[in-house]
Amino acid sequence: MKPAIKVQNLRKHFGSVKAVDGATFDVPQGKVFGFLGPNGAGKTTTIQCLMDFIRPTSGTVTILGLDARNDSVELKKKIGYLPSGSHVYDNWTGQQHIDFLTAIRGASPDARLIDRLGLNTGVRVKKLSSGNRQKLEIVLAFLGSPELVIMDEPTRGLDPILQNELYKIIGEFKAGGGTVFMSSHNLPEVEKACDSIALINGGKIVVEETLQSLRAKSIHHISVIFDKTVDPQKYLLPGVSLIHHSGHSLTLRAKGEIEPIMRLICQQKFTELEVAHASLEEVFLEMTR
Amino acid sequence: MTELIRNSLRQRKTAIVAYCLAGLGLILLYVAIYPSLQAQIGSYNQLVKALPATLLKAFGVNATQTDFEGLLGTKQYGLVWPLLCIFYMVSLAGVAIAGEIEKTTIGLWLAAPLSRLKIYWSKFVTSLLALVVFVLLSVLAVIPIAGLFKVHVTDAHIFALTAISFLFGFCITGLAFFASAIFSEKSRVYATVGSVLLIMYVLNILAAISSNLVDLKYLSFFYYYNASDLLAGQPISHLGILIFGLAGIVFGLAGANIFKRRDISI
Repeated sequence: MKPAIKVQNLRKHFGSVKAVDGATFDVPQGKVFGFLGPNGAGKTTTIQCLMDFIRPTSGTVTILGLDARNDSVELKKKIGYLPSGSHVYDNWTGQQHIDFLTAIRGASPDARLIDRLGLNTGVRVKKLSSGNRQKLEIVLAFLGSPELVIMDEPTRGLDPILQNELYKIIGEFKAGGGTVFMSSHNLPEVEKACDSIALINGGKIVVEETLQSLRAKSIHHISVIFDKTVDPQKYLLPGVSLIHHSGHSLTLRAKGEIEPIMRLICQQKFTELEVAHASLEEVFLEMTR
Repeated sequence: MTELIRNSLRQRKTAIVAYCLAGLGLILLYVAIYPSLQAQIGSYNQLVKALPATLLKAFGVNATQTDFEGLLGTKQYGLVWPLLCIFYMVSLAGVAIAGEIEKTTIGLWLAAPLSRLKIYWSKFVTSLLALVVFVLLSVLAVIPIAGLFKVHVTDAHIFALTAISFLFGFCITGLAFFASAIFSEKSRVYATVGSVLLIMYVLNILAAISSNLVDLKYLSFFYYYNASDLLAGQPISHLGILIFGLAGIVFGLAGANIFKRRDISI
């Protein structure tokens, strides 16, 4: 099966700044692809090249078998776009935005999606909260039954309830055969929503992985306060290393599956337990090692 | 294209209505004050004659024409109307492209299945439609308003003024869209176009007051916008038509080409 998006040796330089520097990756059709990287890594620049907002210094971008630049108009009939910032008019209502894009795309909006998100389309955008603005952007992104939806940090500024609703919408879109390309700097989010990922840092693709292999490489920090002093050596299972130990307190770094170490910890009484994802930078270091 | 123009017009309706009403209101004002000015025409003529001829020429004052058209040529179409037209067209063009990039709303258009050229020309045509309405209400409307108040005007003079006024506005629109296609902030469009037109205005004045610099007038759009002469019955300048028409087309096309090729990082 042809990839939905094929990016080959993409470079975008702004003078001496190499925003994207030779990125190559494929996005499989019918999957949710996470494009992960810290702020300033080149995620948005890559997306803007995909959307033909900016033009690559060199390299090629093929989407759904068409050239992202030369076939831009034809392609955008098949693509939905959810920007990281707001692209809507403050003095228009949601309905005016929907009518505008409906007239251009020649397709009706998904009334069920509007109802499901609880969006009041009769209110001017300037009177909407940031969450409701994002709901409008989601409705606009899915307007016209696209084959591919490109999302730039889609959950930024959303409350957890709306985040989960968006994950459900993405899941249903994928189940219907759609492809999603979403950028994020949030590893847990990508783990929750995506089938495969690419990591970008410093404008270069560092790693391209399936979610399964990503999970195998994921890193957690586990902090426990036991009810009595413990021997830290007992907890150093394969993939687990000691970060800190002091009396009753123990902090561990666990790579891959955390079930074995959690079972071991639970054999001893504890008063506090905290499990946190490692920072993205730490994951990068681990993956590029 | 119709939908794009309709939406662009809807976005700019407040500015369009405000400027058109201002242009119409000024005509009504001059018609209203004309009878009282006529009563004081003797002292006005004495005042005008006391001023240096070069100064009168520089500011397009026709000292020999004391009828209503002379008043319009000196007060309204010699200075106020071109300024109003410049503010109007530059503000529309500045908001249309650079303003949309600045506010990131251009993303709504760029993400839709529309070519860059279609976006550009829909906004350009919208501005031209707004210009047509403005010219009709602020220039051609002189004929019915003067008729209503029983003030004499020569229709042919007003028709000629309407034509050259539209072409002047078209030229300013082309220049402003060119700047708007280059920049990503509307303030830079206003500053750039404003500076260029200010330099042209100064060149026109310098050419009028100094015989050594007389050829500088050809570098100024204001030289070709000869409202006072047209209202005094002189024929419309073919060179003016050519310059305004060509400048509008060349700057408009250059702007389209830049907008088609440029990066729009939003």
